This record gives sequence, C-alpha cells and structure tokens, in this order.
Amino acid sequence: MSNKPELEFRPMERERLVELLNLRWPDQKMFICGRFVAPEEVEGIGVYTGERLHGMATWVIHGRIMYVVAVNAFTELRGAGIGLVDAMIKLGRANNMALLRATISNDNVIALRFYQKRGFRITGLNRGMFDAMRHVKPSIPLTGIDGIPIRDELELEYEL
Amino acid sequence: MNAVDPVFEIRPMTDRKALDEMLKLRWSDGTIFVRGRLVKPDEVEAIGAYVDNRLQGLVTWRIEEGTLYMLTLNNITDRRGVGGALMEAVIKMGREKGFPFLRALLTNDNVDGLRFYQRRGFRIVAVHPGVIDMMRQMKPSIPSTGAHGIPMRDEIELEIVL
Repeated sequence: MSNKPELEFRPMERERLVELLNLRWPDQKMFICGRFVAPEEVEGIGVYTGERLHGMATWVIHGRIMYVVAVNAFTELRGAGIGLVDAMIKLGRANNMALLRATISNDNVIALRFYQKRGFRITGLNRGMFDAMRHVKPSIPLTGIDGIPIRDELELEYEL
Repeated sequence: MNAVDPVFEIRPMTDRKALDEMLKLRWSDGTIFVRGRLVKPDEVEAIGAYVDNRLQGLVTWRIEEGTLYMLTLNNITDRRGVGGALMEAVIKMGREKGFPFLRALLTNDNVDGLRFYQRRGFRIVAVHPGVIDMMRQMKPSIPSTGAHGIPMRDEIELEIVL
C-alpha cells in the first residue's frame, strides 16, 4: 500500500561499528574461528533508511573465508536480515572470497532456519564448544531458546 | 513437560498386519532410510498413543547395530501432547531394556523437530552433510525441499542418555 522504505546497505563507519560491538560484547570477547577477536578486526555492513541504522552484519576475514560474527536487527524492519546476508554475499564475491562461514549455538533453531533458507549448508558440529568457551567467558548463559542447554556449536557455510 | 499426559493410553502396536499396512501408506515407497540402509515396515516396532481406543499417533523404533533408534514420530490427529508422550514412552522402554542411550535422526530442514527434541533432553551428537542427497540417489521419492522451503540434504543425529 504505502511505499516501501528504500533500504540502503553500506559499509559502517569504523567508530560507530566499534561502539556497537562494545555495546553488544562489553567484555570484548568475541570468539570467532577458534580465537578471540578484537572489535578493530571486525568489518561490517549496515542497513539504513536515510541515516537511520536498522541492523548490521559483521564478519572477520581469515584467508579467503569470511567468518560471520553476527547478523543483528535493531528494528522490526522486514527484510533487513536477509538483505544483510545478501549484501555480505555480494561483497564477498566482489572481494574474491571463497566462503561465508557462520557458527550458531545448538539452541538457535531460528538462526538455523534463517541461514538454511538463504542457502547455507550445515558443515560441521563442534561438540562442547560452548561448554569450553564458558570457562574463559562465564557470561555465556547455560540455557538459550526455550530453555535448551547451550553446549555445542553448529557450523554453516555458503560457497561464494 | 516430562509427564505422560494421562489422557493417552500408550501401548505397543501388536497388530503386525495393520501396522505394516499403515506404515506402507505413510512412508514414501513404503520404506525409510536408517543409517544408510532402506528399512521396511516389518523391520520396525511401534508404540501407539490411543484415546478411547482410537490411534492418535505413533512412534517407530529399531535396534540398529546395538543402538536404539527412534525412527519416525507422527501425530495422526491434531491433539496436543502426543509427540511428547510417545517420546517419553520410548525413553522409558529404552531404560527398562537397559540401553545406555537413545538416538534419533532428523533432516536438516526440520528445525522444529530439532527444537522439540532438544527441549526434551536430546543433544546433537553428529551432523551428516550430504547424506540425504546420497539417499535420494537410491530413493528418488525423497523430496528435494522440506520444511520452510529449506533444501533437504543433510542429517542431524541426536542422542539422549537413558
């Protein structure tokens, strides 16, 4: 009925990105591809209408693999999540990346559905990954969605 | 969550002929795949959930190389709680028979099943990428797309300690 707002996907300013990452991970402990990464190493795309930020997709590059840190929506704007993944795919291809790799906790069936609908494949299971991470980062909750214990990590990949 | 809803009468389905007929109808080509092998209805056992002697749902199970597997779990009415009650029944039976754990296999598209099993104490023990693609070579009736429009390609194996 009404005009759909024009979504714009563009790289985020470094300062804003670091600020948001610090809000999201106050202890600065983002565990990606087997190590802790600093906010300075993370790259991100934001989804905007005008100057308003509705969500962001973040990743870390290692070789030709883009490790997804997170896809976050800040508002209820429809299509922001899928649009962010599409924007990451496009950027990865333009930069000659081979793979997008995302990891999720075992309870997160919503993300499992989201990534698989967009064409990601389940490629691996890291048993006990969250139990191990909890030793270094005790703030990881014991239970997640629907009270399901958070223990294992599922790995998904998208070939670029 | 763990209590069996008293409204159901849970009992093994002993009418072998009726069970075989029903499973042949329910399973495409009359078979299912279990750990890389086609399994026929007469190779599985079933437990039914009844209300007033009418079947509400059933679970099938089988011992595969010494391991107890829950194979299929189906509601045949929209009565709530059938799945949970049947799952509890298999867990109870497995404990009584002295099995150390119970396993189940889900296709990758079945995220609702994954939630359901994990909520009830199952844990993911393995993922088998591409196994459904491989099965489809042998059984072309396996659909290419499953729940939520997700391509069916892989299997997720879950386990509960008994």
